[in-house]
Amino acid sequence: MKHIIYYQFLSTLRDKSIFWTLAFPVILGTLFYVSFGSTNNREWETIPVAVVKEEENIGFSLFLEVFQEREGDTTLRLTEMQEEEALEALDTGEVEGIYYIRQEPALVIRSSSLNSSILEGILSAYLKNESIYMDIFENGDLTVPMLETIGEMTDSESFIKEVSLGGENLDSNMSYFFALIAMACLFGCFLGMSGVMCLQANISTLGARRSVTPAKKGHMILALFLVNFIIVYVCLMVLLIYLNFVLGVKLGNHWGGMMLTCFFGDMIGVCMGIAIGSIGKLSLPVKIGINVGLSMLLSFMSGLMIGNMKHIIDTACPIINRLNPAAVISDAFYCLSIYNDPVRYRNDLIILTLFSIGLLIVSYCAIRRERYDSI
Amino acid sequence: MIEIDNLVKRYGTTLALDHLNLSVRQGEVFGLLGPNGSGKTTAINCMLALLRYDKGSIRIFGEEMRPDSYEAKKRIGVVLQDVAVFDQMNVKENIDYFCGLYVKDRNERSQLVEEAIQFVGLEEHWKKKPKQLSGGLLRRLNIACGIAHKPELIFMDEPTVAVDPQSRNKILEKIQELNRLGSTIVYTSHYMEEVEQICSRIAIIDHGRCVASGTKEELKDMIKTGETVTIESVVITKEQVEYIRHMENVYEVEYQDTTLVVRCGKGQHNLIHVLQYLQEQKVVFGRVFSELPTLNDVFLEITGKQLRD
Repeated sequence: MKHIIYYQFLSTLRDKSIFWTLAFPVILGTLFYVSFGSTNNREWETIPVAVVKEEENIGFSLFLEVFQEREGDTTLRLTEMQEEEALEALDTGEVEGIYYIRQEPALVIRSSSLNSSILEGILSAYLKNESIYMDIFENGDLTVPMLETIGEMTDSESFIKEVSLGGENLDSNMSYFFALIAMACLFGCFLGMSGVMCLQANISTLGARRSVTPAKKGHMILALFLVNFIIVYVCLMVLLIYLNFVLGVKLGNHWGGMMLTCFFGDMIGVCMGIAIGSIGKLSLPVKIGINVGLSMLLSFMSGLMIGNMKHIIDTACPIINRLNPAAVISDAFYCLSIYNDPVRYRNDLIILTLFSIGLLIVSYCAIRRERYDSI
Repeated sequence: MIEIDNLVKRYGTTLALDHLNLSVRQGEVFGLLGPNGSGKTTAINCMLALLRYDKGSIRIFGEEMRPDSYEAKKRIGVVLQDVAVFDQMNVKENIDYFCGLYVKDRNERSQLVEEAIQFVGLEEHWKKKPKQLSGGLLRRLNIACGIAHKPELIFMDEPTVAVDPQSRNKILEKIQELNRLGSTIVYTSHYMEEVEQICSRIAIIDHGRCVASGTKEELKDMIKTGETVTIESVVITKEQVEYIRHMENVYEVEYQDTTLVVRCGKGQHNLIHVLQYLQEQKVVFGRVFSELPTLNDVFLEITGKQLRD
């Protein structure tokens, strides 16, 4: 048995496809982070802007000052300049844009970016309500500080406060990262599938050769499962560490629970691959297609691509979420990080265990003592 | 050592093995000779319990062969037609892996692996991966993986397919050496030259049936042809052809495009008699060949077809 495990490790580690088992979730996680992972926790930098006064427009001038001088939230750093100087500063990157104060205010930016989008948003906000601002200036009560008045108009007040029942992180984007980790768990299916296909005589010449040796199929499947489980688990730990410590995604403080969830998620992923690889005489490309399709579909249904998909399915047909391993894994992470519900968490792990055992039994029965009609 | 009794195997409506009967004795090199599609590989795969069969029985070492016949499998080595090795492992690792499925003791296995590498002549290539080996060397690796544990019974299914002549000769020499060391070998091929060279007993298979079996000499004795005399660049008359046709031991004469082919039965001096007659008739001729019957002739006479397309 040790001999089989050793060489299973050797051949799996040297298989180049293992690279994507690790790399794809890391790359996707990075893209998630770049797209929206830091938006809720971001500290906004002050945007340097040049102001070129061409004509008198007190309304726009005062409007801009609101963004400069609001307490605790300095959005713009305004610097008045001549046009030539302003254009040079824009070229060198000293300023992000140039506001032209005239009857029809205008904005010049260098290139599309988050800051330039904010500057455009500010100008649009003014132009939308320009007549109101002009009216306030001309007819408003001048005893009320003008800036305060305009500030009131630009504030978006929220009358709802989010409270976590578990007292944990409420970032709505976390659903994507949980679904990503669930997908990474299911990626173990590729290693499981390719390994078990090399045990089947009707699919692989290696399988034929191994089938005529005195080594028992049960031992080979067990070795295959153990080796792939360990390798995928290492990949999952690398992913968790990368998400939490490199990207700074707050997955929570329950590291023991997360590792345990990955343990069971890894198990179901590898077992799923072994089961798909064991059944039928489909060729390798077809089985790869089934694996890709199934893991992506299950991940989609757990919220990988549409954040509230899991909730939609929970509302329409909750049994699907109980049968979907990716949804169960994702739910386990929710239980740890948000719900703080140990009973539900335990149930999730039990479901994953039962699925894994069932799939392994199916695989073993499919390929042990097997004689084929043709090879 | 192997007893196959009335074996029938169908692939759908195609009858691949048609009441095949074979027996292989201990210590011999037993050849299964037949054209492509005759059922040789199917027979081997049934013997190895890889394929289901519809009827009949297969006994190896006195026991019925099943997928869980682990004790019998420990004594068997297999060299399949297709190369079956791990691309990610080098030569030594591949041999060690397969040997390790039979031999648990690490020291013993290490010794066996070294011997297997030397046996097949891969000492200089032991670190290379399969993709770095030529076709001939890959076939040698395939053989080494199947025989490293020194099995009593070895199945070799066309081990020299797509191999250069030098490697092929080396492989055939090594197979004979394995037999001398005590292994019984079941060797399948559609190359009669190989089978004639190394096999002590041969079964000729066609359409899933054993049409003839025995030693080379026994098989050749089964057919009429004792000797075939071919004379090139000869110009003779119809009367002379007829005269040769009626000579003692001659049963068939062909004369076409100045080439005379005379098929004779068992008997001696057939060539001399023909040449003497031509000399007496003052017939001028070119090159002369005399061939003893081959297994292809045996196959041709029994089945009416050539062994190879």
